[in-house]
Amino acid sequence: MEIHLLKSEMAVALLMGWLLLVDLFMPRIPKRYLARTAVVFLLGITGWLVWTGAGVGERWMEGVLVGGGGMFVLDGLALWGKEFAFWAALFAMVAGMRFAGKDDDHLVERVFLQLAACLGMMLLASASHFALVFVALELVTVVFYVLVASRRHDGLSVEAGVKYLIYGAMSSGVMLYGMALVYGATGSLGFAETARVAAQPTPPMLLKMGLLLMLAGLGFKLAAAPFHWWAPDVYEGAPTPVTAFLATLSKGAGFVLLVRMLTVAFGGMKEFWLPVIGVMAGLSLLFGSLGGISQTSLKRLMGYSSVAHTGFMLLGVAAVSCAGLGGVLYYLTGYLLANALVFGVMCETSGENPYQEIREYAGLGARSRWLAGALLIGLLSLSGIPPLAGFVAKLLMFKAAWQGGMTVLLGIALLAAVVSLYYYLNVIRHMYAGEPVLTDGLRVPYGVKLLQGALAAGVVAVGFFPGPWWDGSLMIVRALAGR
Amino acid sequence: MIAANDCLLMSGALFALGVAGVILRRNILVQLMSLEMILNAANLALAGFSRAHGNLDGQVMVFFIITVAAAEVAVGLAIVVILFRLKKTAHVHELAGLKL
Repeated sequence: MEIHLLKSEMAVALLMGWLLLVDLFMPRIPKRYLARTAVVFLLGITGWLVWTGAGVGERWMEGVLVGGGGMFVLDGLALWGKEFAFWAALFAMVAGMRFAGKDDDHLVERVFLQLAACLGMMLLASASHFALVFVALELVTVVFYVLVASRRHDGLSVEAGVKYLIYGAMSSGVMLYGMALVYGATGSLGFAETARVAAQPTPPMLLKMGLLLMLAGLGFKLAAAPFHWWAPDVYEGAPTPVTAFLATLSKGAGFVLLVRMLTVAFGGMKEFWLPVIGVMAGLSLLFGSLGGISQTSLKRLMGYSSVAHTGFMLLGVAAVSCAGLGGVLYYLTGYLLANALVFGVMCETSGENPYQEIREYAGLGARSRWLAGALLIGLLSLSGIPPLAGFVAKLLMFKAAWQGGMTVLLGIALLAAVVSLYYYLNVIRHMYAGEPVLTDGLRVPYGVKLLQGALAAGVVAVGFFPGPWWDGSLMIVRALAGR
Repeated sequence: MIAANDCLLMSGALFALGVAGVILRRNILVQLMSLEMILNAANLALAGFSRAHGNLDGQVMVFFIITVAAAEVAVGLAIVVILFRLKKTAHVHELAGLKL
């Protein structure tokens, strides 16, 4: 049995069970303490994972660790995905706890659901069999239906939940039908068998159809145009900490799956999927950047911004080089840190109010220099100002696109970068120069200051010293492609 | 004797009906039913291909799908019930709080 490969997943599952049982049988313990304990435990598991590499250390580099008859792999990409899931869940949990009122009865359930989504992405990062892909992806998505609609008394939240549910379930169904067609073409649901059939000189028509349907379904999860229309609505309606989680975790999960699927299972069909990914990248860049211009709500703006970032990352996927795919992982790191920073500030400023008009941020510089500074660094990194992480990430994407000879896409990407720079700077202009709507000072607790300071330092460090992150990403991708 | 092609045709028709139902119908409950139809189209295709290939992978997958679909519908109906309590409607076109 290879059950030891699942140590980190089992730890999270145990934590979830423990949380529910304690909440049920010891109702006297305040929910906030329970939630904090869960965060501390998750931090411990994260530390263990980072320190020991999920108990397998550096062994993944010598050979792939496979479990469940090829269903579950533990390689560099899997470990990277698990770490990403942990950090995304931690930031979202902390933001959610700050956002929750003192007498929130559902705090523990919410933390439980966030842990479940985290577990889903951890499994997804290791999945190399379509059955596990489906179950893990549904674990993430179904949890998000509940989380998005979790402000039950708020019409907008429920409405966003319904929209996410209908379109999300449809995209899952489309993806599933694609899997069925792939099974029809190959006779197996494993990635290895699929790769063998895909490497034939003329892959069967069924396989192509299946891949196309799967890319459509996955495009929805990534908020890639033309399947992006749900993103601004759901981002706006969902409670802010959930939006933060949605923007980071579901994006990371989608890209880890996309990278593994396209390189491992469909590596032999590059000529077929390259144009598809290229078109998705171009459309996402255009819709994401142009759609954001006229937005008045910061949350909707972040929705369009996430579409544009998907476009940049798809550019790296379309480059089909180790530089491009490694760049995607680097991009995701910077994206996670900057988003955690921006959404963290949004949770601090708005409290219970889910509506985030940009003009309400006018005068934030005077209300709290700390929050304004954190938002500034987050937005500048997202817009790609040197020397922050977002700049290096975008540069890597441009370079990969250039080396891949995709001049048209590169042109669109440069245009998108300039246009999105406009709307990010617009928020910053409001923040420092706008006529204030609210003037009351904001008090920020030390813990939050510490977290935001660490995040900002992370954004700067990843941008200033890209070496270690870049080398790590490259090593992971090389190991994946070398198989 | 049912061939894999017949299964594919039948499931393709079900899939198309399901997608059309989700996109064209405006009642959320009908949309949920159409979603089930998409999932069942995949089930049918998997079972048919499983037979054609002579292995059981596809049929095992069907069990996973049935389980996950049940969870999805449970969550979906719960959200629709909340929506109905708040807005007294189950129609998509009355969901205009978030501009599309």
